[in-house]
Amino acid sequence: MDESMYRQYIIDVYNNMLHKYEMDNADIVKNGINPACGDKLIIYLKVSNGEIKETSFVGDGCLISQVSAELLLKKIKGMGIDEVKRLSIEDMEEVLGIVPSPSRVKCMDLCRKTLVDMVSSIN
Amino acid sequence: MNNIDWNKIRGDFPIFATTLNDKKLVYLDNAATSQKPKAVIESINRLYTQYNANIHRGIYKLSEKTTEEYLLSKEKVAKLINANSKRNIVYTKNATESLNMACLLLEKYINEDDEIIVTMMEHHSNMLPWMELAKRKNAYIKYAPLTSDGNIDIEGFYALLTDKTKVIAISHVSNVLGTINPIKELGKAVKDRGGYVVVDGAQAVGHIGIDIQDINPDFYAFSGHKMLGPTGIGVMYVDEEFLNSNDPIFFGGEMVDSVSLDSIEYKELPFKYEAGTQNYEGGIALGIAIDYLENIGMENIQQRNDDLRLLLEEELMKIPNIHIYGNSIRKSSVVSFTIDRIHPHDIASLLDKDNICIRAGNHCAQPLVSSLGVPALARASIHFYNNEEDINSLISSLLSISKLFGHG
Repeated sequence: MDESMYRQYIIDVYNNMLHKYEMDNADIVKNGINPACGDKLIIYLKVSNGEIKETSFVGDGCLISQVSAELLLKKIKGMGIDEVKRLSIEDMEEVLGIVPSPSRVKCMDLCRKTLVDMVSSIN
Repeated sequence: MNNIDWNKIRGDFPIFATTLNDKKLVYLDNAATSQKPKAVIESINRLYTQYNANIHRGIYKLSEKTTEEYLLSKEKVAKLINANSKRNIVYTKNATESLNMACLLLEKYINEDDEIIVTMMEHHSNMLPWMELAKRKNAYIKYAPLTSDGNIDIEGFYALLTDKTKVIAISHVSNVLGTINPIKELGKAVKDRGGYVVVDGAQAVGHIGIDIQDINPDFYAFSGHKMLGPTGIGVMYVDEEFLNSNDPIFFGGEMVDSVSLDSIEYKELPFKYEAGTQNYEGGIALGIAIDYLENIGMENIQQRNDDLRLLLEEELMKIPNIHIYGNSIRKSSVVSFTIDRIHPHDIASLLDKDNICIRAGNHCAQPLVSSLGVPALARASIHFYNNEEDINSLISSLLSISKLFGHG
């Protein structure tokens, strides 16, 4: 399983992350952490008319946690809030293009969990 | 150093005959647990196939034999660490349980506003019990600071001492930095003020020679599984006078000479501290592990580990953008490192593809790892059965990983 986790395109994404920066004037900011392994994210969103307009993040963590954030935050730009609320682990596997080993699922899922939490109170 | 055939010794460890996807095992996580020689594995089989019976209680030969082997193992432990006698040796589940027991036994001597010194490099097992004790007793924890090369800051330590100092909790060898601490000197300073010295020896015993009479701690804790023994057996060395003048904390079968409805007479040392059926399987196998270590000789093992560790450090410096944490002159066989932009978990996962086992994370020493300003560390830890080829395999894989991430 690890074999597929460290594919070249994943590492290419890691080496050139376009959404990894602090955002000024974000509408919502939230911290996400995996206490067991120490992966950390801060996610920034700009939202209007029930739609995600801009996304970014900063953080420290393993490749899977960081690349998952990069790819998910790229994907949800322009997505409706309701759709974001429904994002599942299976969606994450599709976004990442891999099925991580069991011990790394939580790394992949940190961004999604944090994100769903962020938008949960928006109607 | 005697002329030792280390290659032959490696052959005593059956696990090194295993492979994963045709890749031989490179085991560099010895600080987490050690591998076991055939003699230890077979001793457990021998117990259960030839002479198993509960210890202490049977009036028959089988039980006498098991009891005899169990008691002999305590003598071996005492000899390995140069303790006065087996009366000092209490068996526990592991070093963590030993340290928790030490803490519970000392609880009655800790009063409000007393001070407990814990070093900044302690494993959680020699930190959390004291934090909880301090909370229960309204006492204070003072953390002994470290220098940038990973030693205890001696001046900083002495500045913490007051007439309220009751305990020092200190590791003999750091599981993260590899530092061998001057426990005798620091312990004496605390004892001179009437305090107790509690040493976590989990990374020391089986790696370096221990002279407990010279160190003279009140408590010294270690685990069997990190010194070629099985899991589930640990040791708490305790000063005999302390053991004699205190009551046990666990009660039940085996630890008493006589019981009436209103009185208990405890057994002699150390058995009054061992309630219930003990892990005699673990104790006996630990004794065999000690035979194995003594047969090679602790001096030879320490020298071998030093040689391998120095080679490992030298080779690691060839990896671009690497940082090694812990540069004490007095260092054991643990090497922690990071590589810029590559998370330690990714390093460990990628090494695993080559069947190379290292540890990555906070190593149950979160305050220490945070103080180093990193989210996690990769750690390669060696033991005498490792060899130059293991180190070469690690370095070659690390260079490939480095390249994958665009370094150098």
